[in-house]
Amino acid sequence: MIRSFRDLQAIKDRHLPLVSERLQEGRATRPTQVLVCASTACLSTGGEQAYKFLRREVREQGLDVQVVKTGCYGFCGLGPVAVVHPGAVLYCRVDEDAAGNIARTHLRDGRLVQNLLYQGMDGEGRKNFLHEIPFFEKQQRVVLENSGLINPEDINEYIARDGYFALARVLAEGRPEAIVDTVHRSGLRGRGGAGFPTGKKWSFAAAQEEPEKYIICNADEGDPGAFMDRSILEGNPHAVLEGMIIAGYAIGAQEGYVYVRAEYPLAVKRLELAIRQAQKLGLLGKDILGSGFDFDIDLALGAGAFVCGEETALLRSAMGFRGEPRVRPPYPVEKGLYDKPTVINNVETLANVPLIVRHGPEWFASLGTAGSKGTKIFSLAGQINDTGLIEVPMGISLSTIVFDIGGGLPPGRKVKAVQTGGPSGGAVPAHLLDVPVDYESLQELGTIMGSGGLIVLDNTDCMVDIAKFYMQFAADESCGACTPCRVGTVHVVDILDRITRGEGTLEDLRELEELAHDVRDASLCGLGQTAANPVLSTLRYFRDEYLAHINDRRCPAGVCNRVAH
Amino acid sequence: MDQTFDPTFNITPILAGAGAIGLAVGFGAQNLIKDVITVRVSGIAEWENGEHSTMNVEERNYLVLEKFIERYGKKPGGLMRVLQKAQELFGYLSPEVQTYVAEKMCLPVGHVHGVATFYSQFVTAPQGKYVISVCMGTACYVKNAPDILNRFREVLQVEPDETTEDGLFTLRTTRCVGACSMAPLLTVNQAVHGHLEPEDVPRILSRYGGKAGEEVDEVDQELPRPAGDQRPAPPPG
Repeated sequence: MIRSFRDLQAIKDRHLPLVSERLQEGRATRPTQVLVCASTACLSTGGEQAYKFLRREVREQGLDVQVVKTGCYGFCGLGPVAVVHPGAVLYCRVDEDAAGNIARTHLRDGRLVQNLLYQGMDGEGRKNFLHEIPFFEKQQRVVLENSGLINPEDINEYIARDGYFALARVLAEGRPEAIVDTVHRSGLRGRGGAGFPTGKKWSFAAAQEEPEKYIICNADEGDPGAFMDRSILEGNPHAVLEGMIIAGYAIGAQEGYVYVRAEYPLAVKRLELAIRQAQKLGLLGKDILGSGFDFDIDLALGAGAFVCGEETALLRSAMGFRGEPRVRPPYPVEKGLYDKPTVINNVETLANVPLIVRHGPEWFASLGTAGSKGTKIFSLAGQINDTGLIEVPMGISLSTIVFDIGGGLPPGRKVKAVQTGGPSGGAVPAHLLDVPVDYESLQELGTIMGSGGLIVLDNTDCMVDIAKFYMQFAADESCGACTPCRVGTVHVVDILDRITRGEGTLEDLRELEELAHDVRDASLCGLGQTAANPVLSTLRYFRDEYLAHINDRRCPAGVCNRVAH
Repeated sequence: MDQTFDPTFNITPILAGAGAIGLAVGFGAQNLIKDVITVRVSGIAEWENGEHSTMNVEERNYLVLEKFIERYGKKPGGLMRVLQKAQELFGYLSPEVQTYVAEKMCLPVGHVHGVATFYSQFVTAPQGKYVISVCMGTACYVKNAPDILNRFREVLQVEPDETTEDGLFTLRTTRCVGACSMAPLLTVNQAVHGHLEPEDVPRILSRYGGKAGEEVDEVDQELPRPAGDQRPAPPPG
């Protein structure tokens, strides 16, 4: 039980040596620890077996080496990943056989296993150490700094990395309004997609007279092709909990919920574990750290409805109703969960909070651009060599992300566009990839930052087909509460279907554009209002592809011909 | 009636009968069901002491659900969690289970049914022993996931959300399991299979005992399945 700052410091001191060893990069000495990535992607490509195998092997050979599970390195395309410390020697594709090899050659005999080291696509020499790999070089891992460094299932390791010190500090200072001010000055904006200033949201909720308030962490990551929130929850769940407790203290809430997708069983498991550990140490519950502040967190499980990422739909779902949105205002900061003032923040937003408190708002504001502060986590997928999870400063260009970090496209492929913001966003065409990634620039291009899904599309992808895919998604996921979205999306899909079958007319194109605007303008919630974005955006940049389908009855990418018969 | 728990009194036929009546039972026969369920609940202690081993799986599932509702069902928000537990126990949310949940949580059956049919995770019909969910998220879609889905449709002769006649496989589509580096991928119950080609489909089916397999791979260890699933394991290969 932690009752004071000193207790917290004692835990840190006890566990720091173990964690510090993992920070010594660049010189491989006698191995003492192996960290195995235990995120969904790595575990299901053989990481689970590799982890068990390594543990058995170390035990049987009597090696003085610890085998530890850790969070996502982001290098998912080459997973399962394992890193040997000290020195951070990174091994790729560590299946059971490879694990045996690492145990014998590296852990026992002290020699690197050459054929498991990273090698770039261009055939350049193998890289021994994690920090030498281009994928990591241009990243700025701030929120993800502990992912791949600590065991997410052990609260002590988080504390060893200054975890819960931000909470201890704000509770000791005892000035909730100062926290709101700090977050406000940092310039932090919501990472869920819309980019609303977090400090402002908190100040609205803090100003409410109501004694009962709630904090909700929105972990209903519905954008298909995005896995930032899953990775944070699996890799460092305590950072999110700490952010929630601080938020709760700042606005005067006593209870928090994490609304998490049931499709993420591992994230749910780690969250449950993290909550239990925090409760046991007295970091959640009554009279936290002797401050008199009570706060507890529970989980609310989603059940597969994209619309529940919309905050009013999420609230209804968390209260056990169908996840249908309602008109705003009143906003959740006035009337939210059980009609009480509620702050709903995204996972990544909350994970930023302890960092801002610890390092100060000026530090945070020094990262990123004038209007978009800090870093952003993106999940990189689609037609790209190194799929994975990356964290970059705001303002970096998409071309840096795709070519320098993501290693470009497979041979013979040419980037056509990058879709940001998922079904609510749009496509940024190849010739505009040098535009900086920030909230404003992306909006000018007709897309949105979104929650961070980046899908790379190439010359084998048909943009009309992609627009149809997203519209079909919106039509399927429309909750049906309002007509423009329920009926409009289906009509848009019908038109797109006609075009992709080579039966479209120019009249269809005109109607498509008009209908897309109607759905955008008349829908009740964010789902409908943004549903037509992929259509409007592809019409803006790839009208020639639409015209080829209509005038020439031909799909330039050769996709729709396949679908046609 | 409360105090006289009779382990030989089998309520299964009554509930099975209710199945045919469907949701109507929620309004018409509530008292009957209530009485039956009260009997079974009063038997928790005996059951836990192992004195009533004659209790069948379904009865046991109802008891577990009852306890779960006592713990999580107090707030209205608990409904989602209760339905998830119910589906885990029974494999799907039958009209009887929905009615039972409504009764226990003092909610209208219509409300429970509305929630059960809103979310794609909840199913109201029995599922196959193995639920194949082909990911149709964006990353998988651009890597030819539709071809994989079509191959399953051909081989299994079912459409998405349908179950094969032998009850072995249910075909579904899902929206992103967040493991996009393995695209295109699918899940079979909890297990993830990634980097797929349409040619992999027979091999996957044969791993789970499907007859459609052209080649026989080693059979995986038994995967976790719903606790209520009483069907015998399929023959290997």
